[in-house]
Amino acid sequence: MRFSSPVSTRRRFLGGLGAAALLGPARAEDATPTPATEGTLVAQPFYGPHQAGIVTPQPAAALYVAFDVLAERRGELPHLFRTLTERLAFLTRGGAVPDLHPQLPPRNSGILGPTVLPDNLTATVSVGASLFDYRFGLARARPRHLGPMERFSNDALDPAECHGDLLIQLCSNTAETNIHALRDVLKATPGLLAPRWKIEGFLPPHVVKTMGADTVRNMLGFKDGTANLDVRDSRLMDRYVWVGPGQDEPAWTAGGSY
Amino acid sequence: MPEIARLDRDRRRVAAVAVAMLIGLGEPRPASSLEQPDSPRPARQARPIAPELAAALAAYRTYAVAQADAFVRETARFVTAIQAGQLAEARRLYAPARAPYERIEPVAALFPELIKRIDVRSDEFELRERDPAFVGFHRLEMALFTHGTTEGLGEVAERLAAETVTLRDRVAALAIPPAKAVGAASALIEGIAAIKISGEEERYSRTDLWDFQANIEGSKVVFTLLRPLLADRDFVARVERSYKRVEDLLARYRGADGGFQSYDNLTARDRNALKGPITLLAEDLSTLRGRLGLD
Repeated sequence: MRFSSPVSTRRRFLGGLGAAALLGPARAEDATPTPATEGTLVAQPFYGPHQAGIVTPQPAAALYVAFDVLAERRGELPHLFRTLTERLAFLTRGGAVPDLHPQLPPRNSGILGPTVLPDNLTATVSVGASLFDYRFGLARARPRHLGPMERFSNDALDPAECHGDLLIQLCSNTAETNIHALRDVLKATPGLLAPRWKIEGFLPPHVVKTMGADTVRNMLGFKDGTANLDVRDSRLMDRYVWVGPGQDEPAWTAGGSY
Repeated sequence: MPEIARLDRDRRRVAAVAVAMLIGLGEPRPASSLEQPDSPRPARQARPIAPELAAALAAYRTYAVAQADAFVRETARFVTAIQAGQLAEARRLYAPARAPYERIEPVAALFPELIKRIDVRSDEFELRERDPAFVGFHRLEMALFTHGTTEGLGEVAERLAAETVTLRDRVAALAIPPAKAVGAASALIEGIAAIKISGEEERYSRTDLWDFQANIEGSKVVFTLLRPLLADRDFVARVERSYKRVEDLLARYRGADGGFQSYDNLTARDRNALKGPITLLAEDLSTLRGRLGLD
């Protein structure tokens, strides 16, 4: 366990805040985080050369949800992905929940109140091998190494909790933010996505402050991830994490990750 | 037929039914909530309802009462078979007896204490299937389909038949709140999407597809009555497409006798194929009240 002096911890936290808040809310009253708002105003950029949530520091709360894509025709897929982009960009940026006509059902679940705060949310979308099957004619666009997840020894697999066409990883400071994001996505995509399984995870809240500087002890009592590659080393990331040119992969996968 | 002529024809039909109702049956009496503890308080509508909407609502009320009548009749046939010890006949009559109720379930749900004696499932009880309060259709369903017997069901069956008569009387006396009537279209679909698609409703007989068919029919009746009042033709077209997709899928599971196959026969792929249009229908129909200016 590393103990950091209060000064250096604060420097690291603000460093994280500085980088992460580039695209965060710019309202004057939010400029100085107070104990009440600390963390909830931190926004991770949604757009960039890579999806957020891969080299982003570990979160305090994570939710993985796999979906079956219910679209019946290839032509429905662009609408699905554009909708996901639009909703996830909003949720990671934060903002006021639009007021609908009072006689219409509310658009938002209301879990986070009238203003959605970013709360360090990242939303990472990935596609499964099954999306590239006979249904949408995408076989030739399948990433070279993408296949159905294999069984490991000692697995006891429940088919209802395996595989999926699409997976979204939601990471933030709190479970509420993740659940709110999931419900928003479900509400926005009726008839296009059906949730298949989900798994939630948690880490102690203080990881928010250390922003990945510590490895954290897991439920088996082990410190997990001490041998992980340093995500700040971009050469290592380009070599081992990101799909790049010259790897015999479809062009659309460049900048993505397995 | 041109759009405008069809709208006019629909409006005239609805108005004709409404007039026939008013002449033949007189104004419905509001439920007297003081004498009947579980009948709902009539909703107070802030603004008067447009006459065309009122006509549609009156036509729906006629339909609801007619289904409540059919529920009494079909349940009586079902109960007679049980009391005569005719197991095969009772099994055959189980799902058809439920159909009229499933068509107007949101209206029946305005009387929750009554529904608890008609349609309750064992989940609600600590003692599950052994709880003495587990009565009604599903208690009979369990005996007929899991235990394969009509023995000892006489009293439960007789009480069920009596409850359907009580329900019919309550529905006939009720002024269905406008928001509830309009909301029935989406409530029926939401019931499928949120609960019934898991197959937990008819867990002994596996006759869930019968229920879905009835739910959809009931939802479509509301929507069809309201269709002339809906300005957004894209919305109408989308809803009708969703209904058709669901109906076509269910039709593939019809048996030779006109009934439906066991819910267990529904493939995972078809269950997923149902989820899409059902969810879309639920979302679209949930906007009906707002589109009609109802609170």
